Amino acid sequence: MENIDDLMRQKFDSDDPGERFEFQEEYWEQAQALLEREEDRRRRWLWFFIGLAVAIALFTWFLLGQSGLWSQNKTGTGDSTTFTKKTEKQITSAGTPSAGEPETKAESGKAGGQISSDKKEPEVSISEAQASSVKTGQASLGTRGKVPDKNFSSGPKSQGSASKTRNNYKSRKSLPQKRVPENAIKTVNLSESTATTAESASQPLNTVPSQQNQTLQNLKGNPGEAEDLQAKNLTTSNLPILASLAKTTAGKPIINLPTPLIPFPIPARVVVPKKVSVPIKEPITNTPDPVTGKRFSFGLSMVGAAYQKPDQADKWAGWAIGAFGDYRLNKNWSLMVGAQWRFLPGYDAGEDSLNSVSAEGLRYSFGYKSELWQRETRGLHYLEIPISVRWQKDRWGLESGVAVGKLLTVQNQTKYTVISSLEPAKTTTKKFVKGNTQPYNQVNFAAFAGVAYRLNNRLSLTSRVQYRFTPVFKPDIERVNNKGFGNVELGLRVRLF
Amino acid sequence: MHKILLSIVLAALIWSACTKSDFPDPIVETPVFMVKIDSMPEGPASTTAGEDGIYLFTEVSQRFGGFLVLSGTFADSKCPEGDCPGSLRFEFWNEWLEDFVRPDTLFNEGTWPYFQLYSPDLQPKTVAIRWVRSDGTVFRSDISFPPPNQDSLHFNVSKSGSWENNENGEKTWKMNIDFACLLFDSTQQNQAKFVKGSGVIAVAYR
Repeated sequence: MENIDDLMRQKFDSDDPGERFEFQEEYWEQAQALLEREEDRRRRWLWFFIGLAVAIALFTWFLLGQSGLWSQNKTGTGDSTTFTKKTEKQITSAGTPSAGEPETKAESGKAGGQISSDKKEPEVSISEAQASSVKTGQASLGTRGKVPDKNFSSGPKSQGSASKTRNNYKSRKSLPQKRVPENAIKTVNLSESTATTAESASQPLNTVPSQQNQTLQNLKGNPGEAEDLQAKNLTTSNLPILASLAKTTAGKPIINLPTPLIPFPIPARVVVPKKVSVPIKEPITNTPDPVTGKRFSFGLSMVGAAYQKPDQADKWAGWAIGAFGDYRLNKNWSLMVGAQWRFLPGYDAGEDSLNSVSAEGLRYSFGYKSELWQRETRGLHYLEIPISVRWQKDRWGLESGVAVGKLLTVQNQTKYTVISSLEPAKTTTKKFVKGNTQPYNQVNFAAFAGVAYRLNNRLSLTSRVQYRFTPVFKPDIERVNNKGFGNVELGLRVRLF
Repeated sequence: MHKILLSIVLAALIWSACTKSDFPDPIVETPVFMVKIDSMPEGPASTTAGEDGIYLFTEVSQRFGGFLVLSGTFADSKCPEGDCPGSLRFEFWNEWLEDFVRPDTLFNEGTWPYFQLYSPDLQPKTVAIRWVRSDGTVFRSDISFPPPNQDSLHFNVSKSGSWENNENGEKTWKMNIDFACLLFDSTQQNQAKFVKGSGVIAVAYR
């Protein structure tokens, strides 16, 4: 096991992923763009779920309000600490009778008297069922006279826990058996409707108190216990608050509507995503080159060339090496500019006053020693600037362009041969000797066309046909075949980056 | 980037290696050593070092009787022994003494007597000529018996001087000669040929 551990440790220590995978910044940028996109999608989903949850909560709350379940539940709890003050307009707009009609007081008093409170004669409207509870603590409040006593004496539990919204207010109309006492209070205090309206409104009130008392009796077992429970609730929890409210609104009618608790789903932890802008050079979909992903590429080219035979030599094989830059104009077209070194074989200018072909030396002593120098033109070297347009589709590409060349030098070869009486001939050859460039044209022009086949991401096989318009020799040099010539090329192109 | 730099360096190396060189002026010299014999029975004959494959082999050797022989032989370049047909050899005999050779004094202008092989007396400062005819017959000037009358014979050294070292690294001495002698057939000593010639020869010395 130790050996394995050591082996693994050595592996991890010696293995550098950077050596295996070349770092490409463009890959990281693309990956970062993908991550950003994924993160944005997650953020959208998060907001969508939050909004959906809020909508569901509101809709649920609305349904509960419509069905009255919310009010019933609250009534059952007996929470009386959430009273709020509502204006008369709000209540009027809810379709309830106007407040302050004396006839209504009388009618409501007939109906049962438990909610017949009034600003001026509050003590008259106390019902029989509540009379006993008022005796204990409610009486003191009623003697203060400014606040309607009925507001605090009738249906204490239902009033204290009633919902505050208009919907709840409407729902009370649909559930008269439980909401009637409150409606009755409002009718007594605020409405100015006619007697007929009061009658129609007070009709259910005649039955509701008895039903409510019946319910309480059913819950507690007997009416006396229910009365004690109501009185106890009022005196222990509601009265101090109501007394303070009565002080602040002295002399004015006060409508205390219950304020419901709205269940609002607050997430335990809300992560607000922070958007970080990452500069992306180019979208992946807009990359011009499906292979390289770059508009500009640079590489080297090597070609072998077969030339038309010169007039006096049999040499035909040449070559050209160089560098090129390729700028991709769009998906298929690109512009290519290069600089290459071309070797043109042969084309010996012959002997002239400045360029002798051979020289000989002969010396005698005990024997003889002969030395012979010979010169031969191997070829011409040009610097060429080709400019071409390339059309590429998949692996195949076509290109065509022109080239201008400048004669750099004439490559000669010299042979030195020495012979003596006692030694055989010995020849030494120098293949790179500068020759005379005078007989040659210094600048030439050519046109070419070719095809390229991309072997892989970096290597391409190329083939060209080129024709040089400018003759090799100057016009004043008498040559048999001093005119333009063509050549065929086959080579490789290596893209470096 | 490294490939680009490598290409540039390579091109610079090739460019610098392509040096321009001028040829030397043509030089054609005339042969230095030659011997011309006018009185040969077969007609005038000559031999020239550096032409027709003839080379002038020079050497110095010790011979019997305490003699030191300084020689120069015109022979084919593939026949360093000098016994091939057409060879012409000149030998200068002298006493062998340490540091005895002083070419400037030995080869003063003057006449050299011919060496006689069968003479019992010591013969310092003598000369001998050997010739191998084209059929292989060897003719020598030193094998006559009785010795010929030397009044009509002569060997004169007129102009001398040092020359290049030979192929063996030995020092050589160049001299102009003028001679007349009897060359005896080595197989039939009664048959002699009178030869008269001149030329420039060289010998090696210590």
